[in-house]
Amino acid sequence: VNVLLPAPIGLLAELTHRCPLQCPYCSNPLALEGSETELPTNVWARVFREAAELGVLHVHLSGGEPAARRDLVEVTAAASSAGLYTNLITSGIATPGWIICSFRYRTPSNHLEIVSPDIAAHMNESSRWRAMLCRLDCRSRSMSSCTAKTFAEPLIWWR
Amino acid sequence: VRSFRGVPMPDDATAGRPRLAPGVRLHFDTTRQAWVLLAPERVIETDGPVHDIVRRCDGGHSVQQIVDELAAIYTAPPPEIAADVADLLQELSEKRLIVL
Repeated sequence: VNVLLPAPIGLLAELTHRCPLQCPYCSNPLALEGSETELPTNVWARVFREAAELGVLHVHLSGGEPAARRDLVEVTAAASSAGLYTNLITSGIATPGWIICSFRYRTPSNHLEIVSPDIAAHMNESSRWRAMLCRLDCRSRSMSSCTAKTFAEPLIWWR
Repeated sequence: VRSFRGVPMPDDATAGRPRLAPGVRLHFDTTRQAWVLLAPERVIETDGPVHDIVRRCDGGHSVQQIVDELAAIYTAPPPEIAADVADLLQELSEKRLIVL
């Protein structure tokens, strides 16, 4: 068999299209996938295993807002177990406290990327997550890290 | 000894022992049969002498130990190896892949 394409390095996993934000580059007046059509935990776990076998190294857990999924910790752990370098991309906004606790004790994510819509939230949320990750590193020798980004687009919503 | 994010303070006995930076992982890519450093949005292939140095950045080896062990593997004069190791560690540190 002739291999025409090199193996993919990264996988962008849109775990959900639910999100508390309405950023213009992502949200649109047309319907996105509803929660009823989201892939269940075990299917994502299989996708991650198959991706790793294909040669994928990085998985970017995104959405929507991935923290809108109640099984986010399990999904993240599945990606990690598959051997993938896990990058959780979240706005950090309205992220439930139990997710923070789960990360603290189970530390499945290799990297946490906080993308936040305005500077104030960006600063607040990133410092909160940084403090959480600092505790996490001290406790478990995990290799988690954190970056924070902000996006400049104003939150304009046309309908 | 107090530490921040697991990074030893300068007076710690392990100071000067390079380690992978938080969020960086050394991984063997079975698909491409290559050792890679995985970091946020980056994949860096490490091969040959680079891998021999990087895999010793475990927080246990001092820079001198890394140089000594490479001198046992490679035939280059130890001062040359020391300079190469120092250059690579500096470069990796600037790229935030290791912590010196």
